[in-house]
Amino acid sequence: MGGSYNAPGVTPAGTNLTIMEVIAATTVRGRLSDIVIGSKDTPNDIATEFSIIRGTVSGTGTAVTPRANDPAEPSAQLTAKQGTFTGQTKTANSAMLDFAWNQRTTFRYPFQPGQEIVIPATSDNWVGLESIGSGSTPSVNATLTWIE
Amino acid sequence: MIRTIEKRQGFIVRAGQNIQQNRIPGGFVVIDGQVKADGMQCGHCGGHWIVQPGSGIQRGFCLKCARVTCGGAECERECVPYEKRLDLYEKGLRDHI
Repeated sequence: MGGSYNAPGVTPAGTNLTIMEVIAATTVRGRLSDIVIGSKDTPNDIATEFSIIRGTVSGTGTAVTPRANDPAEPSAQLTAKQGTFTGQTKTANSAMLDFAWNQRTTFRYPFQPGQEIVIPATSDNWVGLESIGSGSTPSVNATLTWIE
Repeated sequence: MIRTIEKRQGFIVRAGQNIQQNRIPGGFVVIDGQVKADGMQCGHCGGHWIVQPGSGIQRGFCLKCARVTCGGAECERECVPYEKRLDLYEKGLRDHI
């Protein structure tokens, strides 16, 4: 069994904007195991709807270096990016999890072992945190954790 | 702080909260360090949803693979378990998961 890795990213919320992508490796499936969302901005009552979605073409974003949760693990094979993205292909009707978040809070969704969202071992496929809509554009500080 | 979770014969008992379910949750909603809700995973598409008791949202249960399903049309129509969908997708035999 591979290691556990995480990648942090920050992107302003918006309408149908991808906050972060975790991009597949063709050699191993990834399993998204945890999502943590908060905001570095001044606390405010701003509601944002998020989805975890799939895509088939990764967009041009800002690369984020994955970090191994166990320093003894090798480098991650999956990669990660944070927004703002251009040139993505998102899979329609692919929401794997849908939830709302109040900017004042920290939201976390740990997946039960064995019930993670799988990132298939298919080139350029990705699973990402998508801002569906928001009352404003607060900074979304997100950390996605996955297992390889 | 997440309370201790004890797994016992398919039941999950959260110590101190007296909550029992007959299905293992797919995940947990944690707000500011407190577990506020459970999630479930569809056995066919792998999608998660947050359990909202009394919402009236109709979910399903597949009698073939004995897993709960999300209630989506495709997941209700035929049994293609999540792992099988992934295998078919990676082989190019299915255009979506």
